[in-house]
Amino acid sequence: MLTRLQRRGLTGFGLAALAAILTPGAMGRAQTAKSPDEPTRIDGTIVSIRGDILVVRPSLRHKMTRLSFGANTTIMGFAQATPAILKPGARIMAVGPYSEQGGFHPRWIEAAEKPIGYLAAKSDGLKMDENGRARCIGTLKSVSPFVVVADNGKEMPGKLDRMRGVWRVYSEDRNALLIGVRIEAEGKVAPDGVIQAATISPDRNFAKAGAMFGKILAVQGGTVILQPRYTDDKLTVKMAEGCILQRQVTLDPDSVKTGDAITFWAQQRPDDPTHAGDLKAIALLVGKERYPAADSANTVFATGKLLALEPDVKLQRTDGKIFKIIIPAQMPVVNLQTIPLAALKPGTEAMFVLSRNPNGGFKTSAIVLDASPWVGYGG
Amino acid sequence: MPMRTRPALKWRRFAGACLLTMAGGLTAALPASAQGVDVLTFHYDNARLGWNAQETRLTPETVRAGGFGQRWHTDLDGKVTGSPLLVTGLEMAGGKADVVFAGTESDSVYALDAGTGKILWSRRRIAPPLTETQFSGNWFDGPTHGILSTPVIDRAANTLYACGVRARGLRQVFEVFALDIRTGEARPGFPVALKGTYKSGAFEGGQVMQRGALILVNGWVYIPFGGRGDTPPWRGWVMGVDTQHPSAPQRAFCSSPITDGAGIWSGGGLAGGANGDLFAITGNGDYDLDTHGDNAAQSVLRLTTEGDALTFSRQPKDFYTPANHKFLDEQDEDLGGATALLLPDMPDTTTPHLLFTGGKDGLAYLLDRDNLGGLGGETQKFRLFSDPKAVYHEGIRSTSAYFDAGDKGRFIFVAGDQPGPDNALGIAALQLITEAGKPAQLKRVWTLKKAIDGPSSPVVSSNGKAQGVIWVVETANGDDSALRAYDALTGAELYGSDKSPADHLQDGRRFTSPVVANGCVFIGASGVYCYGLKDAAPKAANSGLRPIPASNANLNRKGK
Repeated sequence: MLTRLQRRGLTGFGLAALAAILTPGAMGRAQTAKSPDEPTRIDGTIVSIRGDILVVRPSLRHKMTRLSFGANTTIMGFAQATPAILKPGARIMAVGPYSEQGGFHPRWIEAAEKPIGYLAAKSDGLKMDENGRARCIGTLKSVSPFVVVADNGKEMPGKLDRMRGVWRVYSEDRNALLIGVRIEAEGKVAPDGVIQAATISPDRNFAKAGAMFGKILAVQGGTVILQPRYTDDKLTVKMAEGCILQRQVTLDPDSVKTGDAITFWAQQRPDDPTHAGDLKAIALLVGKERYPAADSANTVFATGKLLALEPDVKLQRTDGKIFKIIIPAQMPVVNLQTIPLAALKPGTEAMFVLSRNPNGGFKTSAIVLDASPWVGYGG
Repeated sequence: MPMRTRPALKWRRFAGACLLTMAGGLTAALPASAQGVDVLTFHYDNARLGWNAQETRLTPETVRAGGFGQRWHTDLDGKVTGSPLLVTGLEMAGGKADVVFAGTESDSVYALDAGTGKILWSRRRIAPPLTETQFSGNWFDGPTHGILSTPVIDRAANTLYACGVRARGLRQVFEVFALDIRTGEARPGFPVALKGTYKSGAFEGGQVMQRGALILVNGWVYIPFGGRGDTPPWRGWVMGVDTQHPSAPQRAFCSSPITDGAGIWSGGGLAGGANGDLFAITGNGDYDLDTHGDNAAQSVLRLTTEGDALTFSRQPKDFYTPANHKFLDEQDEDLGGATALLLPDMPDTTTPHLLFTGGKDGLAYLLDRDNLGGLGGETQKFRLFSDPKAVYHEGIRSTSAYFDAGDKGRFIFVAGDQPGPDNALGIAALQLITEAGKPAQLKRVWTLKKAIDGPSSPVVSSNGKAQGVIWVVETANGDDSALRAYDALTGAELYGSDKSPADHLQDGRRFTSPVVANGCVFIGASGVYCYGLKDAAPKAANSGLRPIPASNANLNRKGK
């Protein structure tokens, strides 16, 4: 099933009033900032949160992008819903095919109780693209017949006979932005490439959990009180059943020799077909333990023998297959060790793999002491 | 002031060091041969003043008259992200030449004839540059990441030092290269891979980026480092290599040894005082200097280079931190976007030794070098650029320039990205107000009427204390780059290269600075550009000069 991000990419419609920037090349251009007034969007995974600055690893390229978070930034949450949430008065965006003869057939609808984020953008009617698809933003006048009213009063009728999905849109708080969470964001680009985010949308279909780095303040039974990194906050999280407890021991890269048995936690390179067989390392692991891997994170654990360090780093997997490994900046060389609960001492820095409880609060499925910030869960 | 020639030994010791000897506001004396002014380091001198007071040909009148434009452009194998450097009267095979030097993002170094742009020698890919995937940070859009900073030249030793990066096994390694400026040949003992520790933390090349200009102080070359766009983990570092004994232990200082941050990333790098002190300015990160800690984000730091170490005392007289540093950190409003200007002595005031800088928050900061002031101890600070209500600031991210106009006053020219109070745009001219027995103060006297999109670090040329011209590159993210010149006393625009297609400047680089000397303006961009008075005959190299063979295939040169 398509996620919201994938759907939005396939539809060819970016956020309201944005130029379509859906190809890898176009994404690259957008992120290198052609003009401070030109809005752009990005989708990717949060790898760092410091103050009001988020560092995001884009989905379609490897160069990090920074987002600044301001008082006017809206965090838009999305939840898959049914057409039953479509009520007159809702603020909606509908996307689908259009023709003069057949009219407008929305396939995807995002609906909010009140205008937020890009749903608050002023609308004046259907917007077309060159592929015969249309988008409308406005206030839902009626569901049957389906009629949306633009802000200039223009009515935009449609037929809900080809519907594929409805999404409820709502305001989120900043706790929705965790390291490892995949997001989509849009905003204006500052001259140094920082996107001044107008909206940020976490996509939980990609990463249901994220990572938070912080200091352990106390451990009380199955509960950990932590201070998130770069803040003075206190956060209480419950340890999930079977919670993984590990300590990262960082090793000198020069201690790894050709012939050693190692594991690379790595990304495949869909961005570059000519190097599709290569892996871009996230971390090099010595030993049997692994980082808690994210689902749908497009990462692999490649275990085998280190064949060469120069001129290229090469790994021969146990099945004989040989991979060229790209070693990026910040790649840690580590050994992960299983630790007892008693090792979670106050004052210890750790990475917490978190997910939100349906009724609020967080639970953690893994705690890694002294983890490198680079390996933030989510891949 | 007449040009001076220093004895070779003295040159050897002080090459590239504080070459401005100021006494009561005398004009700047740049290193010069009989053939003209040399530019051996970023912004002309270790004080980073950006002022050449020996420019007799490029005056407001001649630049405005219409005969000024592009002379030549030479494409290289990568963009030139640092400033070019210039040596005049260099003895090379076959004769003497005025030579422009440039390092590229492809880890190459070039020597070009200053008169024609012809490549005299090149050393291509002295190390394999990093690919975008290997680099991984969020700065720069080029396909390769090699030399990103301004090299430095030891004229007495005829040696250029540059810093490049390469992948080596599981590491990324920064190396300092030393090349004979006459031939491009590597000096014995080089390249030197940078390594060192500070407070038990090891320098890790894979965590940092090297954009700041190199600086030579007392025979040591110092190299500053910042992060790769806040991608964790990152640290601010200064590494030092003994040029006479390259295999000797290196000097190392980390501005945030315990946690992330405090990158030293300004394109101008470090400023150097006459006594060998280094001044570094850091960016966002953790801070605990006020509680005797070691994490020095958002601060101006004085490092001493005496003895065998690179030392930071952590005493308030040796650092300055804005009182709102936490806010600045959270907003990513780095103090360290600009390099410090070590202003000439002002003996008639209670603050004879001043330091000026600007922050991404858009504020101008005037500090007392004799006592930097610790937390909140500035001599003066005030807003020049940016709206304090903005979501994200890009107020000042370039190194300012100084100009002593004699009885018309002493000025600092500050380039800013975003409009400031009272519609301040582009460049603001600040006048130093001095009064006996009182601290010096700055007063804004004019700004441009039009914004500059992504200004480089400006420089000033003048004929002594008169005929001052401000030069700056409007980078505009590449395609719309332009060289601009302004009257230093009024801000009136004298020249814009975007007014003539023949003068087009492609891919101006943000962290570079124009080099103005001997009637020419040299700019690092997509290769090297030279502008000058078109009716003035280019100063041709000796006809017997011959290029030194190198792998220079596919390099294009556009003569004007």
